[in-house]
Amino acid sequence: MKTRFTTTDEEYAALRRNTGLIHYQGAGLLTVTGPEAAGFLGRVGTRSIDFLLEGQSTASLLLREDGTIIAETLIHCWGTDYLVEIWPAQATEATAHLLAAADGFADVTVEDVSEAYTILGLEGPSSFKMAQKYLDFPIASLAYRSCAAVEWGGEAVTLSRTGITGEYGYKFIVPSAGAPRLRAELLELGAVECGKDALDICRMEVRFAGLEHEHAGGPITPFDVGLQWMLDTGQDFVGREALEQRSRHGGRSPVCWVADAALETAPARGTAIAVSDAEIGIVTHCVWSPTLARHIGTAVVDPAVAASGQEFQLAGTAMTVRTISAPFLTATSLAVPLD
Amino acid sequence: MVMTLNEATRRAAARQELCAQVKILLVDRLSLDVDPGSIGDDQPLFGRGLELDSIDTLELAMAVEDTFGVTVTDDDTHSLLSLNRLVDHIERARA
Repeated sequence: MKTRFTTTDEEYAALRRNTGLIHYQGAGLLTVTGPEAAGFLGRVGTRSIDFLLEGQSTASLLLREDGTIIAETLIHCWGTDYLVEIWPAQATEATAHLLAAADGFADVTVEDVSEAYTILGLEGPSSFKMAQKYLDFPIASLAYRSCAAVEWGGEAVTLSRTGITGEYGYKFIVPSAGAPRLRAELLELGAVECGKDALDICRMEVRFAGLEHEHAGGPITPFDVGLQWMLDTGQDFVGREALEQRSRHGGRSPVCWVADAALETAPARGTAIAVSDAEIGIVTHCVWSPTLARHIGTAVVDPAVAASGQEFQLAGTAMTVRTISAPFLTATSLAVPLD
Repeated sequence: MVMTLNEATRRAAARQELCAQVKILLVDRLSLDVDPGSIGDDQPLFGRGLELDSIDTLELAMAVEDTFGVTVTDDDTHSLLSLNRLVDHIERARA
């Protein structure tokens, strides 16, 4: 994905106040078909999809045997077939993992269709007005985490409501040959092209874990980023045994923090966080929030001090960071009714 | 003012206890098929996360009022964005 097209501030403003257009270049897309497709996805992913109905989408984690995360995926249900969508930063490894896993699974076919399709996203409090032009039913009927098959210019397009900024958010999964034309059309309608940097800020602000950023320098488990709620109890998924061992032995807990307004430079990943008489954790990620006008971030800290509302210090500085409750801010769209 | 380790530990224990109570309340009153201990403090309650709906909101508001004596009105939508936000709301109202 491109880092930015104009400036991150302008693109951020489009995402939070109007409509941003995102080209998810490098995203992974795989079709999973066959009588055992649901069983396969329930084994390689952490969530059961047995009850996923046509037109519904759900998020699921792909784990290694040791319980560390390969990727967070979105699974779209097309009747008895499924389309798996993978965030660009994790697409290469996750695609290889899924293709290899399918080799040992009878009655399931996994096909990499990443080149055949392009994902274009619309995000922002006004994005629903633009997305409505591609639907022949009221957009309010398209629930969060659902998708619809639409026809556009003779192309079969999947339109999903699977935003990641906390604003109204939609994605078009369009045959790649038609993608430049759709992109041009969306720009003509007034969408502002946005890059990864602005998107990453918005993701952080609403606490969507950015797996490629949010770590202490090595592989992470769902517990490290607060995604343990994506582990279905009763589901025999790859990595489960290792995670059960890990949860018995504990580990540091993730927290969100906002920095003192005087902090001018983002602390690097791994910067120690302390109380007045001990180091208790490290910074895992940090971005500048234009809305909050300060640095915000995540950290992992000792479980005994992990809570919202704590005053900590960046070790070796006089700068305080205060842990807060996610999300960092309330998305603009929360006050915008779907017409 | 940066806390000492003792202060941070004491305060976190109280907060974690309240979070645990709210998690149990959520699971019990909404009959959720999840282990309360698996709910993250920053886990979203609606949409992504626990995937609650508007009917759950009403039940949750009643449960919070019954248990903690704290009202959650239509104006408090931002307090339902995560478990931690709800706990903030309860703490503020009881302060």
